[in-house]
Amino acid sequence: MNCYKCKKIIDKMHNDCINNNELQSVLHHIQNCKSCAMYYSVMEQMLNDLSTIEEQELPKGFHNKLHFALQREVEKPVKAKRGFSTAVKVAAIGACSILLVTAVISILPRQKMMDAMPNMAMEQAAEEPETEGIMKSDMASLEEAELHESKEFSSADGVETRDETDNEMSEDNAKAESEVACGYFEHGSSTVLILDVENIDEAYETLIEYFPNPLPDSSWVIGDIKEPSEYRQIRAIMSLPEAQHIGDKIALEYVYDIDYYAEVFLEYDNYKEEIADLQNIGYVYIVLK
Amino acid sequence: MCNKDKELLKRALNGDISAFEELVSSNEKRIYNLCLRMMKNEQDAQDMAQEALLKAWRSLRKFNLKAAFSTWLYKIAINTCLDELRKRKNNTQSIEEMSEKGHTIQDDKAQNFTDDSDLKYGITQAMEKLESKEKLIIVLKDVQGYSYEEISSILSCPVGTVRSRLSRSRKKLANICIEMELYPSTLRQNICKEAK
Repeated sequence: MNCYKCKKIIDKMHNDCINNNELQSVLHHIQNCKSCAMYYSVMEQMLNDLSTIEEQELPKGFHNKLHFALQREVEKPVKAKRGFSTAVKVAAIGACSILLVTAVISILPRQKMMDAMPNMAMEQAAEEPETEGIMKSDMASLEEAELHESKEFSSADGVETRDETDNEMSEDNAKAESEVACGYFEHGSSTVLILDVENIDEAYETLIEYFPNPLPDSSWVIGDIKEPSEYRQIRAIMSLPEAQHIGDKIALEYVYDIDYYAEVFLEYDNYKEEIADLQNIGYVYIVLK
Repeated sequence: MCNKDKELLKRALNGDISAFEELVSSNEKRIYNLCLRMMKNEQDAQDMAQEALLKAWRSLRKFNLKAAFSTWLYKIAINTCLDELRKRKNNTQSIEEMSEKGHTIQDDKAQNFTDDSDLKYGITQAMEKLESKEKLIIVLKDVQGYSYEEISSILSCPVGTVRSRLSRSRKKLANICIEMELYPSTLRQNICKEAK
Protein backbone atom coordinates (compact mmCIF):
# COMPACT_ATOMS: atom_id res chain seq x y z
CA MET A 1 0.00 0.00 0.00
CA ASN A 2 1.31 3.46 -0.83
CA CYS A 3 0.90 6.62 1.27
CA TYR A 4 -1.76 8.12 -1.01
CA LYS A 5 -3.98 5.08 -0.70
CA CYS A 6 -3.34 4.84 3.02
CA LYS A 7 -4.42 8.45 3.64
CA LYS A 8 -7.49 7.90 1.51
CA ILE A 9 -8.50 4.92 3.64
CA ILE A 10 -7.82 6.92 6.82
CA ASP A 11 -10.29 9.53 5.53
CA LYS A 12 -12.78 6.78 4.74
CA MET A 13 -12.26 5.35 8.21
CA HIS A 14 -13.54 8.56 9.74
CA ASN A 15 -16.52 8.52 7.43
CA ASP A 16 -17.54 5.23 9.10
CA CYS A 17 -17.22 3.15 5.97
CA ILE A 18 -14.21 0.87 6.12
CA ASN A 19 -13.89 -2.92 6.22
CA ASN A 20 -11.57 -5.01 8.37
CA ASN A 21 -9.07 -5.70 5.60
CA GLU A 22 -8.64 -2.01 4.91
CA LEU A 23 -8.19 -1.33 8.63
CA GLN A 24 -5.50 -3.98 8.93
CA SER A 25 -3.62 -2.73 5.89
CA VAL A 26 -3.69 0.85 7.24
CA LEU A 27 -2.42 -0.23 10.65
CA HIS A 28 0.33 -2.23 9.00
CA HIS A 29 1.34 0.68 6.79
CA ILE A 30 1.48 3.30 9.54
CA GLN A 31 3.85 1.14 11.58
CA ASN A 32 6.47 1.70 8.90
CA CYS A 33 5.54 5.14 7.62
CA LYS A 34 6.06 8.16 9.87
CA SER A 35 4.23 10.54 7.58
CA CYS A 36 1.05 8.45 7.48
CA ALA A 37 1.32 7.70 11.19
CA MET A 38 1.45 11.43 11.83
CA TYR A 39 -1.54 12.03 9.58
CA TYR A 40 -3.49 9.27 11.30
CA SER A 41 -2.67 10.56 14.79
CA VAL A 42 -3.44 14.16 13.96
CA MET A 43 -6.76 13.16 12.44
CA GLU A 44 -7.68 11.06 15.47
CA GLN A 45 -6.65 13.76 17.94
CA MET A 46 -8.32 16.49 15.93
CA LEU A 47 -11.66 14.68 15.70
CA ASN A 48 -11.48 13.88 19.39
CA ASP A 49 -10.87 17.54 20.25
CA LEU A 50 -13.67 18.67 17.98
CA SER A 51 -16.13 16.28 19.59
CA THR A 52 -15.28 17.55 23.07
CA ILE A 53 -15.90 21.22 22.34
CA GLU A 54 -18.71 21.97 24.75
CA GLU A 55 -21.91 23.76 23.92
CA GLN A 56 -22.23 27.14 25.56
CA GLU A 57 -25.30 28.37 27.37
CA LEU A 58 -27.44 31.04 25.78
CA PRO A 59 -26.30 34.52 26.85
CA LYS A 60 -28.30 36.31 29.52
CA GLY A 61 -31.15 38.35 28.15
CA PHE A 62 -31.33 36.33 24.93
CA HIS A 63 -35.02 35.53 25.38
CA ASN A 64 -35.97 39.06 26.37
CA LYS A 65 -34.14 40.50 23.40
CA LEU A 66 -35.85 38.05 21.06
CA HIS A 67 -39.23 38.75 22.61
CA PHE A 68 -38.88 42.52 22.11
CA ALA A 69 -37.64 42.04 18.55
CA LEU A 70 -40.63 39.83 17.78
CA GLN A 71 -42.99 42.35 19.31
CA ARG A 72 -41.49 45.07 17.14
CA GLU A 73 -42.05 42.83 14.11
CA VAL A 74 -45.70 42.33 15.01
CA GLU A 75 -46.28 46.03 15.61
CA LYS A 76 -44.48 47.02 12.42
CA PRO A 77 -46.88 47.97 9.59
CA VAL A 78 -47.00 45.36 6.84
CA LYS A 79 -44.77 46.37 3.94
CA ALA A 80 -46.22 46.59 0.49
CA LYS A 81 -45.28 43.63 -1.65
CA ARG A 82 -42.34 44.21 -3.97
CA GLY A 83 -43.13 44.33 -7.65
CA PHE A 84 -46.53 44.63 -9.26
CA SER A 85 -49.61 42.80 -8.10
CA THR A 86 -51.34 40.35 -10.43
CA ALA A 87 -54.20 42.81 -10.97
CA VAL A 88 -51.79 45.54 -12.09
CA LYS A 89 -50.01 43.10 -14.41
CA VAL A 90 -53.32 42.00 -15.96
CA ALA A 91 -54.36 45.63 -16.39
CA ALA A 92 -51.02 46.47 -18.04
CA ILE A 93 -51.27 43.52 -20.42
CA GLY A 94 -54.86 44.52 -21.24
CA ALA A 95 -53.87 48.12 -21.96
CA CYS A 96 -51.00 47.00 -24.21
CA SER A 97 -53.33 44.64 -26.10
CA ILE A 98 -55.87 47.42 -26.68
CA LEU A 99 -53.13 49.72 -27.97
CA LEU A 100 -51.83 47.02 -30.28
CA VAL A 101 -55.31 46.18 -31.63
CA THR A 102 -56.04 49.88 -32.16
CA ALA A 103 -52.76 50.30 -34.03
CA VAL A 104 -53.48 47.26 -36.24
CA ILE A 105 -57.06 48.41 -36.98
CA SER A 106 -55.88 51.86 -37.94
CA ILE A 107 -53.23 50.47 -40.30
CA LEU A 108 -55.13 47.62 -42.01
CA PRO A 109 -57.91 49.51 -43.90
CA ARG A 110 -55.40 52.05 -45.14
CA GLN A 111 -53.13 49.26 -46.33
CA LYS A 112 -56.01 47.44 -48.08
CA MET A 113 -57.11 50.61 -49.80
CA MET A 114 -53.56 51.34 -50.92
CA ASP A 115 -53.23 47.81 -52.30
CA ALA A 116 -56.52 48.06 -54.19
CA MET A 117 -55.97 51.53 -55.60
CA PRO A 118 -52.26 52.17 -55.91
CA ASN A 119 -52.62 55.41 -57.81
CA MET A 120 -55.17 56.82 -55.49
CA ALA A 121 -53.12 55.73 -52.55
CA MET A 122 -50.07 57.47 -53.93
CA GLU A 123 -52.05 60.65 -54.40
CA GLN A 124 -53.43 60.38 -50.90
CA ALA A 125 -49.97 59.75 -49.54
CA ALA A 126 -48.71 62.82 -51.35
CA GLU A 127 -51.55 64.84 -49.86
CA GLU A 128 -50.95 63.59 -46.32
CA PRO A 129 -47.20 63.28 -45.92
CA GLU A 130 -47.19 64.36 -42.27
CA THR A 131 -49.80 61.81 -41.11
CA GLU A 132 -47.95 58.97 -42.84
CA GLY A 133 -44.69 60.11 -41.31
CA ILE A 134 -46.16 60.10 -37.83
CA MET A 135 -47.66 56.66 -38.36
CA LYS A 136 -44.37 55.22 -39.58
CA SER A 137 -42.48 56.59 -36.63
CA ASP A 138 -45.17 55.25 -34.28
CA MET A 139 -44.83 51.81 -35.80
CA ALA A 140 -41.05 51.98 -35.62
CA SER A 141 -41.13 52.93 -31.96
CA LEU A 142 -43.69 50.20 -31.27
CA GLU A 143 -41.51 47.62 -32.99
CA GLU A 144 -38.47 48.91 -31.15
CA ALA A 145 -40.32 48.68 -27.84
CA GLU A 146 -41.39 45.11 -28.62
CA LEU A 147 -37.85 44.16 -29.58
CA HIS A 148 -36.52 45.74 -26.41
CA GLU A 149 -39.15 43.94 -24.35
CA SER A 150 -38.19 40.57 -25.84
CA LYS A 151 -34.56 41.20 -24.92
CA GLU A 152 -35.36 41.94 -21.32
CA PHE A 153 -35.32 39.12 -18.88
CA SER A 154 -38.39 40.17 -16.86
CA SER A 155 -38.86 41.28 -13.27
CA ALA A 156 -40.46 44.42 -12.00
CA ASP A 157 -37.33 45.76 -10.39
CA GLY A 158 -33.70 45.19 -11.15
CA VAL A 159 -34.31 44.55 -14.84
CA GLU A 160 -31.25 43.23 -16.58
CA THR A 161 -30.58 42.86 -20.27
CA ARG A 162 -29.61 39.45 -21.56
CA ASP A 163 -26.42 38.58 -23.39
CA GLU A 164 -26.20 38.66 -27.14
CA THR A 165 -25.97 34.89 -27.24
CA ASP A 166 -29.48 34.69 -25.85
CA ASN A 167 -30.87 36.50 -28.88
CA GLU A 168 -30.87 33.13 -30.60
CA MET A 169 -33.60 32.04 -28.27
CA SER A 170 -37.04 32.13 -29.81
CA GLU A 171 -39.36 34.90 -28.67
CA ASP A 172 -41.83 32.43 -27.17
CA ASN A 173 -39.19 30.71 -25.13
CA ALA A 174 -37.78 34.03 -23.97
CA LYS A 175 -41.21 35.11 -22.84
CA ALA A 176 -41.88 31.79 -21.14
CA GLU A 177 -38.50 31.91 -19.47
CA SER A 178 -39.21 35.34 -18.09
CA GLU A 179 -42.43 34.05 -16.57
CA VAL A 180 -40.84 30.99 -15.03
CA ALA A 181 -37.56 32.25 -13.73
CA CYS A 182 -37.61 34.15 -10.50
CA GLY A 183 -33.87 34.71 -10.48
CA TYR A 184 -30.81 34.17 -12.57
CA PHE A 185 -27.16 34.96 -12.66
CA GLU A 186 -24.18 34.40 -14.89
CA HIS A 187 -21.33 32.17 -13.92
CA GLY A 188 -18.63 32.25 -16.59
CA SER A 189 -20.31 31.00 -19.72
CA SER A 190 -23.18 29.49 -17.74
CA THR A 191 -26.50 30.98 -16.87
CA VAL A 192 -28.10 29.73 -13.69
CA LEU A 193 -31.87 30.01 -13.60
CA ILE A 194 -33.71 29.77 -10.33
CA LEU A 195 -37.19 28.31 -10.34
CA ASP A 196 -39.70 28.48 -7.56
CA VAL A 197 -40.52 24.79 -7.52
CA GLU A 198 -40.59 22.18 -4.80
CA ASN A 199 -39.06 19.12 -6.45
CA ILE A 200 -37.65 17.60 -9.60
CA ASP A 201 -41.06 16.51 -10.91
CA GLU A 202 -42.46 19.98 -10.56
CA ALA A 203 -39.37 21.42 -12.24
CA TYR A 204 -39.77 18.98 -15.11
CA GLU A 205 -43.47 19.77 -15.47
CA THR A 206 -42.71 23.48 -15.40
CA LEU A 207 -40.09 23.12 -18.09
CA ILE A 208 -42.40 21.10 -20.31
CA GLU A 209 -45.25 23.53 -19.73
CA TYR A 210 -43.28 26.68 -20.45
CA PHE A 211 -40.73 25.36 -22.91
CA PRO A 212 -42.72 22.92 -25.11
CA ASN A 213 -40.33 23.53 -27.97
CA PRO A 214 -36.65 23.09 -27.31
CA LEU A 215 -34.44 26.10 -27.83
CA PRO A 216 -32.91 26.34 -31.31
CA ASP A 217 -30.04 23.87 -31.64
CA SER A 218 -30.44 22.81 -28.07
CA SER A 219 -31.88 20.09 -25.91
CA TRP A 220 -33.09 19.95 -22.35
CA VAL A 221 -31.22 17.56 -20.14
CA ILE A 222 -32.56 17.15 -16.65
CA GLY A 223 -30.52 15.23 -14.14
CA ASP A 224 -28.21 13.99 -16.84
CA ILE A 225 -24.80 14.92 -18.14
CA LYS A 226 -23.70 14.92 -21.76
CA GLU A 227 -20.31 14.93 -23.37
CA PRO A 228 -17.79 17.50 -22.09
CA SER A 229 -17.65 19.16 -25.49
CA GLU A 230 -21.21 20.34 -24.97
CA TYR A 231 -20.41 22.14 -21.75
CA ARG A 232 -19.86 25.55 -23.19
CA GLN A 233 -23.43 26.61 -22.58
CA ILE A 234 -24.68 25.11 -19.38
CA ARG A 235 -27.84 26.18 -17.70
CA ALA A 236 -28.55 24.99 -14.21
CA ILE A 237 -32.12 25.32 -13.10
CA MET A 238 -32.83 24.79 -9.48
CA SER A 239 -35.62 24.92 -7.01
CA LEU A 240 -35.29 27.73 -4.55
CA PRO A 241 -38.31 28.68 -2.47
CA GLU A 242 -36.48 31.69 -1.03
CA ALA A 243 -35.69 33.21 -4.44
CA GLN A 244 -37.50 36.45 -4.95
CA HIS A 245 -36.47 38.72 -7.80
CA ILE A 246 -34.02 38.79 -10.63
CA GLY A 247 -30.85 40.45 -9.50
CA ASP A 248 -31.80 40.01 -5.87
CA LYS A 249 -28.44 39.22 -4.37
CA ILE A 250 -29.86 38.16 -1.06
CA ALA A 251 -31.94 35.51 -2.72
CA LEU A 252 -28.97 34.27 -4.70
CA GLU A 253 -26.95 33.83 -1.55
CA TYR A 254 -29.22 30.92 -0.70
CA VAL A 255 -27.83 28.94 -3.60
CA TYR A 256 -25.55 26.80 -1.58
CA ASP A 257 -22.27 26.01 -3.22
CA ILE A 258 -23.29 26.91 -6.75
CA ASP A 259 -19.73 28.00 -7.49
CA TYR A 260 -18.56 24.57 -6.55
CA TYR A 261 -20.99 22.89 -8.93
CA ALA A 262 -20.19 25.30 -11.72
CA GLU A 263 -16.53 24.41 -11.30
CA VAL A 264 -17.44 20.77 -11.29
CA PHE A 265 -19.12 21.09 -14.66
CA LEU A 266 -16.33 23.03 -16.23
CA GLU A 267 -13.62 20.67 -15.00
CA TYR A 268 -15.49 17.52 -15.83
CA ASP A 269 -12.48 15.26 -16.08
CA ASN A 270 -11.33 16.06 -12.58
CA TYR A 271 -14.70 15.62 -10.91
CA LYS A 272 -16.37 12.58 -12.39
CA GLU A 273 -17.42 11.27 -8.98
CA GLU A 274 -19.03 14.51 -7.95
CA ILE A 275 -20.91 14.69 -11.21
CA ALA A 276 -22.29 11.24 -10.53
CA ASP A 277 -23.52 12.68 -7.23
CA LEU A 278 -25.33 15.44 -9.05
CA GLN A 279 -27.75 12.96 -10.49
CA ASN A 280 -29.12 12.39 -7.00
CA ILE A 281 -29.62 16.04 -6.22
CA GLY A 282 -33.22 17.06 -6.09
CA TYR A 283 -32.73 20.72 -6.65
CA VAL A 284 -30.24 21.11 -9.43
CA TYR A 285 -31.35 20.54 -12.97
CA ILE A 286 -28.96 20.85 -15.82
CA VAL A 287 -29.91 22.12 -19.22
CA LEU A 288 -27.30 22.00 -21.93
CA LYS A 289 -27.58 24.28 -24.88
CA MET B 1 -43.74 17.45 13.23
CA CYS B 2 -45.78 16.40 16.26
CA ASN B 3 -49.32 17.57 16.92
CA LYS B 4 -48.24 19.92 19.68
CA ASP B 5 -45.76 21.63 17.37
CA LYS B 6 -48.39 21.84 14.63
CA GLU B 7 -50.71 23.56 17.07
CA LEU B 8 -47.93 25.95 18.11
CA LEU B 9 -47.15 26.66 14.47
CA LYS B 10 -50.80 27.39 13.76
CA ARG B 11 -50.92 29.83 16.67
CA ALA B 12 -47.63 31.42 15.61
CA LEU B 13 -48.99 31.89 12.10
CA ASN B 14 -51.85 33.83 13.65
CA GLY B 15 -49.33 36.18 15.26
CA ASP B 16 -48.93 34.50 18.66
CA ILE B 17 -45.37 35.35 19.74
CA SER B 18 -45.35 33.08 22.78
CA ALA B 19 -46.29 30.09 20.59
CA PHE B 20 -43.37 30.85 18.29
CA GLU B 21 -41.01 31.22 21.25
CA GLU B 22 -42.12 27.85 22.56
CA LEU B 23 -41.73 26.32 19.13
CA VAL B 24 -38.12 27.44 18.75
CA SER B 25 -37.11 27.00 22.41
CA SER B 26 -35.69 23.50 21.93
CA ASN B 27 -33.46 24.66 19.05
CA GLU B 28 -32.25 28.02 20.31
CA LYS B 29 -29.18 26.72 22.11
CA ARG B 30 -27.93 24.69 19.15
CA ILE B 31 -28.55 27.55 16.78
CA TYR B 32 -26.67 29.91 19.06
CA ASN B 33 -23.75 27.49 19.32
CA LEU B 34 -23.65 27.01 15.56
CA CYS B 35 -23.55 30.80 15.15
CA LEU B 36 -20.85 31.00 17.82
CA ARG B 37 -18.61 28.57 15.92
CA MET B 38 -19.26 30.39 12.67
CA MET B 39 -18.95 33.96 13.91
CA LYS B 40 -16.17 33.52 16.49
CA ASN B 41 -17.53 35.82 19.20
CA GLU B 42 -20.51 35.80 21.51
CA GLN B 43 -21.98 39.15 20.55
CA ASP B 44 -22.02 38.35 16.83
CA ALA B 45 -23.33 34.87 17.56
CA GLN B 46 -26.18 36.31 19.59
CA ASP B 47 -27.00 38.83 16.87
CA MET B 48 -26.98 36.17 14.17
CA ALA B 49 -29.10 33.75 16.20
CA GLN B 50 -31.63 36.52 16.87
CA GLU B 51 -31.62 37.55 13.22
CA ALA B 52 -32.14 33.94 12.12
CA LEU B 53 -35.09 33.51 14.48
CA LEU B 54 -36.61 36.76 13.29
CA LYS B 55 -36.22 35.64 9.68
CA ALA B 56 -37.94 32.38 10.63
CA TRP B 57 -40.80 34.36 12.18
CA ARG B 58 -41.14 36.50 9.06
CA SER B 59 -41.16 33.55 6.68
CA LEU B 60 -43.13 31.12 8.82
CA ARG B 61 -45.72 30.83 6.07
CA LYS B 62 -43.09 29.43 3.73
CA PHE B 63 -42.34 26.52 6.04
CA ASN B 64 -43.18 23.19 4.46
CA LEU B 65 -44.95 20.96 7.00
CA LYS B 66 -43.36 17.87 5.47
CA ALA B 67 -39.88 19.07 6.48
CA ALA B 68 -38.43 19.06 9.99
CA PHE B 69 -38.82 22.41 11.70
CA SER B 70 -35.36 22.21 13.29
CA THR B 71 -33.75 21.56 9.90
CA TRP B 72 -35.54 24.56 8.45
CA LEU B 73 -34.39 26.76 11.34
CA TYR B 74 -30.85 25.51 10.89
CA LYS B 75 -30.90 26.34 7.20
CA ILE B 76 -31.97 29.89 7.99
CA ALA B 77 -29.30 30.26 10.68
CA ILE B 78 -26.58 28.96 8.35
CA ASN B 79 -27.60 31.26 5.53
CA THR B 80 -27.75 34.21 7.91
CA CYS B 81 -24.21 33.51 9.13
CA LEU B 82 -22.86 32.91 5.61
CA ASP B 83 -24.47 36.12 4.36
CA GLU B 84 -22.92 38.10 7.19
CA LEU B 85 -19.49 36.51 6.71
CA ARG B 86 -19.59 37.30 3.00
CA LYS B 87 -20.49 40.90 3.76
CA ARG B 88 -17.58 41.17 6.13
CA LYS B 89 -15.10 39.43 3.88
CA ASN B 90 -14.14 42.65 2.16
CA ASN B 91 -13.75 44.51 5.40
CA THR B 92 -11.61 42.02 7.29
CA GLN B 93 -8.58 43.39 9.04
CA SER B 94 -5.23 41.79 8.51
CA ILE B 95 -3.43 40.33 11.50
CA GLU B 96 -0.82 43.08 11.19
CA GLU B 97 -3.47 45.76 11.43
CA MET B 98 -4.99 44.08 14.44
CA SER B 99 -1.58 43.88 16.13
CA GLU B 100 -0.91 47.53 15.44
CA LYS B 101 -4.10 48.38 17.24
CA GLY B 102 -3.00 46.26 20.18
CA HIS B 103 -5.50 43.49 19.42
CA THR B 104 -3.80 40.15 19.96
CA ILE B 105 -4.85 36.56 19.56
CA GLN B 106 -4.58 36.23 23.34
CA ASP B 107 -7.31 38.87 23.59
CA ASP B 108 -9.48 36.73 21.37
CA LYS B 109 -8.84 33.77 23.61
CA ALA B 110 -9.91 35.70 26.68
CA GLN B 111 -12.94 37.20 24.99
CA ASN B 112 -14.32 34.51 22.78
CA PHE B 113 -13.66 31.05 24.12
CA THR B 114 -14.08 29.77 27.59
CA ASP B 115 -12.30 26.45 26.89
CA ASP B 116 -9.53 25.87 29.40
CA SER B 117 -7.58 23.44 27.30
CA ASP B 118 -4.92 24.94 25.05
CA LEU B 119 -5.51 22.17 22.58
CA LYS B 120 -9.16 23.00 22.31
CA TYR B 121 -8.23 26.61 21.94
CA GLY B 122 -5.75 25.56 19.27
CA ILE B 123 -8.31 23.58 17.33
CA THR B 124 -10.77 26.47 17.35
CA GLN B 125 -7.99 28.74 16.10
CA ALA B 126 -7.11 26.23 13.39
CA MET B 127 -10.77 26.14 12.34
CA GLU B 128 -10.68 29.88 11.78
CA LYS B 129 -8.24 29.27 8.93
CA LEU B 130 -10.85 27.28 7.03
CA GLU B 131 -13.31 28.72 4.55
CA SER B 132 -16.71 29.34 6.13
CA LYS B 133 -18.35 26.46 4.26
CA GLU B 134 -15.58 24.08 5.24
CA LYS B 135 -15.87 25.18 8.84
CA LEU B 136 -19.64 24.81 8.68
CA ILE B 137 -19.57 21.17 7.66
CA ILE B 138 -17.02 20.30 10.35
CA VAL B 139 -19.09 22.10 12.99
CA LEU B 140 -22.23 20.24 11.93
CA LYS B 141 -20.64 16.78 11.86
CA ASP B 142 -17.70 16.75 14.24
CA VAL B 143 -18.71 19.37 16.79
CA GLN B 144 -22.49 19.14 16.89
CA GLY B 145 -22.67 15.48 15.90
CA TYR B 146 -25.33 15.58 13.20
CA SER B 147 -25.69 12.51 11.01
CA TYR B 148 -24.82 12.59 7.31
CA GLU B 149 -28.52 12.39 6.48
CA GLU B 150 -29.37 15.35 8.71
CA ILE B 151 -26.55 17.45 7.26
CA SER B 152 -27.65 16.43 3.80
CA SER B 153 -31.11 17.83 4.42
CA ILE B 154 -29.81 20.95 6.21
CA LEU B 155 -27.46 21.80 3.36
CA SER B 156 -29.82 20.46 0.66
CA CYS B 157 -27.20 18.28 -0.95
CA PRO B 158 -26.81 14.49 -1.27
CA VAL B 159 -25.12 12.38 1.38
CA GLY B 160 -22.30 11.53 -1.03
CA THR B 161 -21.49 15.19 -1.43
CA VAL B 162 -21.58 15.71 2.33
CA ARG B 163 -19.08 12.88 2.77
CA SER B 164 -16.69 14.13 0.12
CA ARG B 165 -16.91 17.73 1.28
CA LEU B 166 -16.38 16.71 4.89
CA SER B 167 -13.43 14.59 3.93
CA ARG B 168 -11.78 17.49 2.08
CA SER B 169 -12.44 19.89 4.96
CA ARG B 170 -11.04 17.51 7.57
CA LYS B 171 -7.93 16.93 5.50
CA LYS B 172 -7.40 20.65 5.20
CA LEU B 173 -7.92 21.15 8.94
CA ALA B 174 -5.49 18.32 9.71
CA ASN B 175 -2.86 19.97 7.53
CA ILE B 176 -3.45 23.27 9.31
CA CYS B 177 -3.03 21.51 12.67
CA ILE B 178 0.25 20.00 11.45
CA GLU B 179 1.47 23.41 10.24
CA MET B 180 0.52 24.97 13.56
CA GLU B 181 2.30 22.13 15.40
CA LEU B 182 -0.74 21.65 17.54
CA TYR B 183 -0.09 18.09 18.61
CA PRO B 184 3.67 17.55 18.82
CA SER B 185 3.85 15.68 22.13
CA THR B 186 0.78 13.58 21.45
CA LEU B 187 2.12 12.68 18.07
CA ARG B 188 5.44 11.56 19.41
CA GLN B 189 3.66 9.32 21.91
CA ASN B 190 1.45 7.80 19.25
CA ILE B 191 4.30 7.19 16.86
CA CYS B 192 6.30 5.54 19.64
CA LYS B 193 3.34 3.32 20.53
CA GLU B 194 2.91 2.26 16.94
CA ALA B 195 6.64 1.56 16.60
CA LYS B 196 6.47 -0.83 19.55
